[in-house]
Amino acid sequence: MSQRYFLACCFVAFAFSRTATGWAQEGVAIEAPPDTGPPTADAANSPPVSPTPDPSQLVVSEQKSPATAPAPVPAAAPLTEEELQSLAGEELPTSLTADAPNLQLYGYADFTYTALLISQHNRWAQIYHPYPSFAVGNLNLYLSSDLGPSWRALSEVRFTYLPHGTERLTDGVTTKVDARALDYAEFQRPVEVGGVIIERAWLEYTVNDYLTIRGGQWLTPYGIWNVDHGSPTLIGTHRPFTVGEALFPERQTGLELYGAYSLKATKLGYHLTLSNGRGPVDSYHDFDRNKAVGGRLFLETRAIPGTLTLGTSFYKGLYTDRAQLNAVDSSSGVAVLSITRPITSQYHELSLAGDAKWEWQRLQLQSELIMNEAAYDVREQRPSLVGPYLTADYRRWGVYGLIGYQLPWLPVMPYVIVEYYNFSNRPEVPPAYGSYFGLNIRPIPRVTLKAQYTYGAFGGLGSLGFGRDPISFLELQAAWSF
Amino acid sequence: MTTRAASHWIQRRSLLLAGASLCLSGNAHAEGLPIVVVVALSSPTSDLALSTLQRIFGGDQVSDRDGHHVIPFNHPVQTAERVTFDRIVMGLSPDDVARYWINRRIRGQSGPPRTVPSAALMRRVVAQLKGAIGYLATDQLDGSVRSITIDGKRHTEPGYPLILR
Repeated sequence: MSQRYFLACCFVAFAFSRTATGWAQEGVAIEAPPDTGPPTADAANSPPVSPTPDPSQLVVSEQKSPATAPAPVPAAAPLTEEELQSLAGEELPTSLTADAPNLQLYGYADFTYTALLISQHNRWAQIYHPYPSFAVGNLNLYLSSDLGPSWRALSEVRFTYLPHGTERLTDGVTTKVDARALDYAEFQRPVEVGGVIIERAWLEYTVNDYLTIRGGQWLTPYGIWNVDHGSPTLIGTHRPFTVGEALFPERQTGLELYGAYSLKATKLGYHLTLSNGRGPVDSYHDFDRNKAVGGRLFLETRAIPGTLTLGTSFYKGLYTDRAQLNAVDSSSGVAVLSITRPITSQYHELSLAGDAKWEWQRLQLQSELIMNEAAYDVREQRPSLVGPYLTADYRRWGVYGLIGYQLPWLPVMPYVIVEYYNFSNRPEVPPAYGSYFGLNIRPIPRVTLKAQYTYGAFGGLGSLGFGRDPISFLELQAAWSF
Repeated sequence: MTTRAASHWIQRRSLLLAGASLCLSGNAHAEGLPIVVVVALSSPTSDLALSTLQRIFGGDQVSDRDGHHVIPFNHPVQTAERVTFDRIVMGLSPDDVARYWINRRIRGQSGPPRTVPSAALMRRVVAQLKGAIGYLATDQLDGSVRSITIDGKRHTEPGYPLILR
């Protein structure tokens, strides 16, 4: 327990010392403001007002005053040296006027300490890793490119240590995946090999203000925190459980149309999607001819105090999995290869969601309600601890609500999240109620420090008694964008 | 941080802030000076709602009456023009602006407008690049670009929203 207190104290001390350091750096920057560009008369007349890091000030700030300049953000947008020189002439630089592709690299990462706060006799200590651990959870890299007027491409990949160490249950025995390999460049010493997850990779073309066409793999546009999934932008240490359960597919491969119409302070927007839908390898194979459709409508308004966003989303698709049976038929005297692909699991899916978010001054309220139902045509045989069983139709749903308030005197937001999720596709887990209490601290815009306590209780025992014990844990996280 | 170090830090910060205040008070762009939104002389745009300006400078794709995409250009973040513009148009403090753009990029949305380091270059870009839009303090205005009204108000009229602070 003392170890936990020590780590918690270190975290809080670090957070506040960084805040103080940030202020101190502001002071230094005011004393010696970074030069922001070529020495023109106009620039000289423009006084330094705020040293706040700005995504569009990277190159100039770095070149002129590295000691006090804000840290770089990949969204660099100042004019290049070539452009500035060209502007001195009569013609504008081609990079401003022509199809000049540019590649921007940026991303985010997070580092988390997690400790279960339950006894060894608690059932959940048998399910989750019971020992306090440090982990780098996300290391995501973005590659963004404006390919030319109206064309844009984005890829996001996550580097992960997985699958090394993943636990798999086979015939009642849990084994760890061993992805170590012998490194030929290092005298055959073993190295742990990780993986890369393609989060999204798409190309889009903007037809006009009301229509953009996107093709590739994209995050499903529903709710708030599926697209807004980066740990620096999340208020808590992770998304609410309901969002993480993928009641909508987290990402899909196919086409997405989106656009918005604005009238004064109100914007009405839409997304329409057509994809492979959900499947065992839906990133590149559809095992039926039924494409999934989905959509989202949202309204964002500043016509009231603050900014209010309301949205509703749907998804309808057919999940299909098939086996592949290979046989050689030589009954006719000639060997003929026969391949059949019988369906092993198939169900119709319907997902519906609603979301609301209101930001007013320092206050933030948001909520998402998500439902997913599955109706089987071909029921899969699922192995479990109590033997194989046929999967039943189910309707799972969950809801969460968040309230956060940014303190006026410190860059700290205390927040509370409450949540309900019914686990209806997992009979071993009863419906659960979760509460999250935390602090979100942003000492500088690109660094977020979080401390969160989570408590979960259950509305029943479940088929294997997991609902007998509540679960609670502590997470300390540093998330940063680069 | 010890008590002595903290005291030293507070004193140092106070001195720096005082110095910064003196610098600002000596600024050529006096408080109360309007900021004018400027377009090319040939642009079809003559008036914009403050909310449309917020969309343009907030990353939304907006076209003018001729169907050209409007391309916004910003002043450097340290300038009074930029701070005032962000505070009034975007409704955000400098820190919040930085977070706004970081969050947008992580969501996979487009990045911030490009910046030009001086008013002279701002005038040149706006005058020459089709669809470009920028902003200037009134004493930086010349005949190469045209100012537009905001919510139907000229910068000389009472109630004009973009006033340098």
